[in-house]
Amino acid sequence: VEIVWTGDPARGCATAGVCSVVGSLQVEAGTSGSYSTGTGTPIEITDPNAVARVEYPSDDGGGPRVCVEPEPFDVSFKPGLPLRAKAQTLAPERSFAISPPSAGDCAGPTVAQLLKLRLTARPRGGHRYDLSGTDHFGAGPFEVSISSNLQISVTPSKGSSGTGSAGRQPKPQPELEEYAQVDYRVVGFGGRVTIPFAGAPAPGCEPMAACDASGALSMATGAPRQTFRVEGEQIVRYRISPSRALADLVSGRLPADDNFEPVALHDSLSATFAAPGLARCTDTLTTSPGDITSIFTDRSDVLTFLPGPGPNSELIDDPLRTDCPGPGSYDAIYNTSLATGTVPIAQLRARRVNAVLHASGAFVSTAYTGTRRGSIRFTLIRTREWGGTRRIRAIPGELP
Amino acid sequence: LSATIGRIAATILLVIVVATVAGPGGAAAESDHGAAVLTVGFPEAIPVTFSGDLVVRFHGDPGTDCAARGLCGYTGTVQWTPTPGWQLQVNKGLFGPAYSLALQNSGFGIAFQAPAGGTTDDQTHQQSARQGSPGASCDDAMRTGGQVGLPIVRGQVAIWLRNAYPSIVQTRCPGPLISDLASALPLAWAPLRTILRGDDTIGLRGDHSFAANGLAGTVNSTLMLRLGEPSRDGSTSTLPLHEHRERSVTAHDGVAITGATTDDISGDRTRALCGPLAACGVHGAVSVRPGVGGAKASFEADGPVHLPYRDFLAALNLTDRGPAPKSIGVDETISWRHGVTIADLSQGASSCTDSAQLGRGQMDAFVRAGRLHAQYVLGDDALGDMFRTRCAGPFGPQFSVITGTVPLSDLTTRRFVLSLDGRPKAIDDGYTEHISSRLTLTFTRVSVTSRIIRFKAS
Repeated sequence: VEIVWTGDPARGCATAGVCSVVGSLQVEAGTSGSYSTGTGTPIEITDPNAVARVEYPSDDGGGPRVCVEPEPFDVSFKPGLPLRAKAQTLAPERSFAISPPSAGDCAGPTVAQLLKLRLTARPRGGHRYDLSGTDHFGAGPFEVSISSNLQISVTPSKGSSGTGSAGRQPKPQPELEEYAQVDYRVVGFGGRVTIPFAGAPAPGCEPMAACDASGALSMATGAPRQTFRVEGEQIVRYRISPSRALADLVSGRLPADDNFEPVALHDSLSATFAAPGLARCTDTLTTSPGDITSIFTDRSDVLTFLPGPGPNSELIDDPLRTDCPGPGSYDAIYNTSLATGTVPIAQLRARRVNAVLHASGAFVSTAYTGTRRGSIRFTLIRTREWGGTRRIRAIPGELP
Repeated sequence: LSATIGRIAATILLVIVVATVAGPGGAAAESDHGAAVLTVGFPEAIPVTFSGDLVVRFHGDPGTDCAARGLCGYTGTVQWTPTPGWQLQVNKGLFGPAYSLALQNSGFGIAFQAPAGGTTDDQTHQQSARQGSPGASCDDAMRTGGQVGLPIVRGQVAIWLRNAYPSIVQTRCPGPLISDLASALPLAWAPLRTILRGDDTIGLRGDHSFAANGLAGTVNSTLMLRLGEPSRDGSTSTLPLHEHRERSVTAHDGVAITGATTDDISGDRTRALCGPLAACGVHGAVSVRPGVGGAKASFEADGPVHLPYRDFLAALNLTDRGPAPKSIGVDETISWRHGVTIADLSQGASSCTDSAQLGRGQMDAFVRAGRLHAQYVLGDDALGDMFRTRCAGPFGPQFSVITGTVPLSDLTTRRFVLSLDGRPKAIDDGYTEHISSRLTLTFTRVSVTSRIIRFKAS
């Protein structure tokens, strides 16, 4: 499957600065793909060796610059009908896009834009299907053309079944559980994080055409009205009063749970990229919703800000990608987070809790260097708190 | 046949147990009751942080006859940057070397990255044959080097990226092979005892020059290995060992291999696909010739020592005395030490003609339905893609198989011929490929040997 994108004047490539940019991603399923299929089950197409290649035209009479980056491809397409039924259009399953089509750190459509990719499957008899054809669609300032000569041959396999014993499970026992919960309304959300960057020294910058480049990513963050909950529970031997349970929560005696049902964010991402001899690129996107994850330690609730997609997101996308070249999450926030802040547990029963998450630190990747700056602020207004002791049935040593 | 398959499967199982499950505590020993036992534990893994990078700058070198290969116009830079996810795998063998070590990259759990040991970026520029013309640039990137074998010599471990698989300089652009750089790659020796303790830093820094086979340049490395704390798993289990005796009869054949697998290539017609690889207008062929200088085949029959010799000869189909007892298992291998890959490519007025040595290779053989079958798997050899030379070009077919067969009655003669052919499909970035393969193997019986082997097995 050949995926080719070109800057399109009709789609505003001049404004974005990507006219005459030509990129490609060739997916060679025939040599490296693996597939499984059945009635209604997804067809998985993989190419671990796929490479994004993008040519940037020179605007000063020099030769074009080329950006290359390995971008493995692993996408499942789910038929709406049994494959044998009739010709049908297959769309990528976002939740199974393990390694979706991407331009990487090079200029090109974002993952969300490239997932407009469609393939048409036509049964050819004898468990063979023809997925060849061409297609094209618009993606931001780019026109994307798809050319496929994919053929699929399905080898039916006999299903297997078996019976087994799960072994003897311990029986739940009656227990007493101390619990406490505090709900907040999230208000006053705002802030901006910026990531100014520059091309790394040669030769690291060369494969990404990033030498002498400069630019910035800027993420403005907001959040709709929503609630945020802090809660904890533990097995106890005696009944605990509601006020004591709440006191235990904010003193750290009742361990609070990490919260992976995060605050959902709305982010707006702007990017600029400039390099000698190349047209200046600018782009602004509304990115995938971001999240705030809270991780508790003994003394403080550490709130960590991760720009989308969060644990509930269906798509593995890079939230720092735009149509412009530049560093992605792997470069700018690998092994860390975009912004972090700490709220002491002792403050959690206050009527208002102000939280500030600061972006800081520098990064050095092969092609880019840069820093993280700015902050995100919000206020938690306590709306409800309750706690006490309740009877539960639990397997000894485990909370339900 | 089923007994043979069962024996082979059991052998494989034992080998797997020894090779991958036996840990540092694994050993064959005497139990409290005096019986031999096999103690198996789990392999030890030491987390490794691989930092820095390795940069190769090269140019066509008249001093090593770049003109003969068409490499004089090239200059380029190849950079290898390791990705996170490395660990040092430690296995203790029972019957072979005391330890085997390998650096491996799991690569799992990292968003936006695929499992691989590192990224190889290549930018090669070719001067135009016409004066004043800007020439062409090839830009490529690959995930490479996910595994590095670490040989042990007299208690010292060699850490050398010459042994990385796939080769860390392997791309579709023209450039040196890893064998050309061998003397310039950083090599570190560290005591095995120190490595097994972990918590150590090993430097692979250095700047060296090279000149070989039409290309010369420098290798600059800032690579460092940081070993973490070993993870020790104390769980072991003990299996009783019993002594066995078997007769092993082997027919040794010399094999002459002629023919080749040829990849006729041409640059893709779509400019967006061939342009970044400077492949537009390229055409020519890359041929792989395995077994240059000869190969050998061994047909080995193993079985109970009390069975007569003639039964083993029947199992090897060296006589036509009817079926052999099922308790005799047969293993067939065809192997060679050398091969060669030859590229002959042209693009406009330029041409590139090069050859590269292939390492050891082998072919699988097996008996089914009264015939001897052989199959040759095209793809990678010990260093990577077997279709790579110093010229530009696509990767060859991966894991494609060509096959051939002869009736077992042919084996009763001292000399017989087996032909393999196929037209495996291949497709790669920037190129279109048409592959044809025909290999002719001429077997000549050299000797038949018999021996009694004693071994302990569980």
